[in-house]
Amino acid sequence: MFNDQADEDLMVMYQKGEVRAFEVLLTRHRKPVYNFILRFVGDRETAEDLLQEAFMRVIKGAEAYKRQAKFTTWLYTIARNLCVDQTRRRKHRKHASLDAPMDSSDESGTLMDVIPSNEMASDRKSVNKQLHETMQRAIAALSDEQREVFLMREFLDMPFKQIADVVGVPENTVKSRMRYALEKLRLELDDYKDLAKAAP
Amino acid sequence: MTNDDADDSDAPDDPVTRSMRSVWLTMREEDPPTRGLADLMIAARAKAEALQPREPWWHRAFAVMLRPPVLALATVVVLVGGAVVINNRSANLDVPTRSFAGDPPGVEQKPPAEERTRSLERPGAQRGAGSAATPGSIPVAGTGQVAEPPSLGPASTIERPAIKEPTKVPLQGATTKEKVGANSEGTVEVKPDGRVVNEKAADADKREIGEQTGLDFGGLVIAKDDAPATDSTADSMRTPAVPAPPSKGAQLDGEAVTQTSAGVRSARPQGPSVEQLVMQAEIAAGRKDCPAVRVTVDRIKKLDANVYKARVAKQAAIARCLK
Repeated sequence: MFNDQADEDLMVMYQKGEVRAFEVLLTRHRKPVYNFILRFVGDRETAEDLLQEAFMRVIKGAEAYKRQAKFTTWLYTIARNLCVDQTRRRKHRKHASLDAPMDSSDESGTLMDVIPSNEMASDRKSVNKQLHETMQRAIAALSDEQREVFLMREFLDMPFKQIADVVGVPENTVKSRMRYALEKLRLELDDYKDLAKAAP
Repeated sequence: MTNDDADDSDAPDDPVTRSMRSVWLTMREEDPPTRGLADLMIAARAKAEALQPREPWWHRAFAVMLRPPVLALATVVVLVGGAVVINNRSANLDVPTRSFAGDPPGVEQKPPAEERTRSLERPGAQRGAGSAATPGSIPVAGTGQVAEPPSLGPASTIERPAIKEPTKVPLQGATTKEKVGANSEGTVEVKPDGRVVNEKAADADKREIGEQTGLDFGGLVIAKDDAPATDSTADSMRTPAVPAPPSKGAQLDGEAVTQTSAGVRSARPQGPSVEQLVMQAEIAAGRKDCPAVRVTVDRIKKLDANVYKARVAKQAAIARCLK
């Protein structure tokens, strides 16, 4: 019964005290939100905390939700704000993790690149793994504004209008950021063009 | 790009981008850890309880009132309250009055000793007792007649006015019937209150009067119940009488006392009026019950000779009986 309901209907049901509706929402959106946060902040532990916090905020602010708003817009706005706050705090602490980009001006990528890897891309599996790691580094190298737009557009398949609502900027700004993000990724992955073609 | 929105046209879609997209689309999505999931659900349940719409206060109060203990308590309250109200009303109505019905002389009323004591302790009882001790006529409201002073027992003997039972109750030993004559149609008796009754013809009288007046005499009491009680049965018949205040307009020691409907019932005149006697005589004459006619006419003569001359003596049927 609940699984067939739209997100907005489930949220309205939860507003009326139906906890099962929230359970369905949690099951439906927990994984994509987690991966969005993980790709945004690049740290699993932080992503877990932020995921927990995001759904806690959904629970606490359930009364404030309006049926007219798209649930995913509301949910990803919460998640995105948490991610932005987290990255700001991290910049203030000047604490760099192994997965975090070293410097925006440094085009060499992350600290992972500095650590020598003896692993050779001997087979397709290792090629894919290498490509994915390179892609993750390239995404992490994007600015926060470009990254959030890129993640929502390419991984969550959101329309530009909805992304604009989540980010709180005009739609054209979102498109511009997306264009810049793709150009930057193209530059980052230029050395891996052949590998990308070989990828399945 | 899978979006089919109109704004998708603005998205770059060159071969390089497509090859890059093929890479990131194959990137594995990680499952979130279950840590914290239980906490989330606990918080969600707590919030859901808070979000549930509350019933209005009157709905909840009504639900509480429907619980068995509350219903039992309400029943007890109603019963106790009813008992208190009835007790209070009984106390208010329990003003001792003397019997308006004429008691046969020489018969001493014997109310229960405790009732007598209680009546004397109340101010109203003292007043009633004083009134009862005062000899004299009692004007009966509305009739313009003066009831004969009943023969009273001792001054301290106070009796509540007895309610006339609608059914005829045979009282053993309570009769004061005075046989004055008999014929084939029954025994003619004179009651202590002056009424002349032919027992056998009484029922026929009641039917006939009922037809004439439209009244139901089915429950009319012929025999008086204020006859002296000589046994426990008679006492028990008199005891449950409902106390009533004195009759309306009745002057007891010069004191006007308000009358209730119960008092109206209990304050009957001492005997039948002249009009009633005339009617009885007419009916008895029509029935050719001459002994009854004679007795009745005698009573009319004693009460009002003018009426006798004007109305009774001129009637042929009555005159035939008197010859």
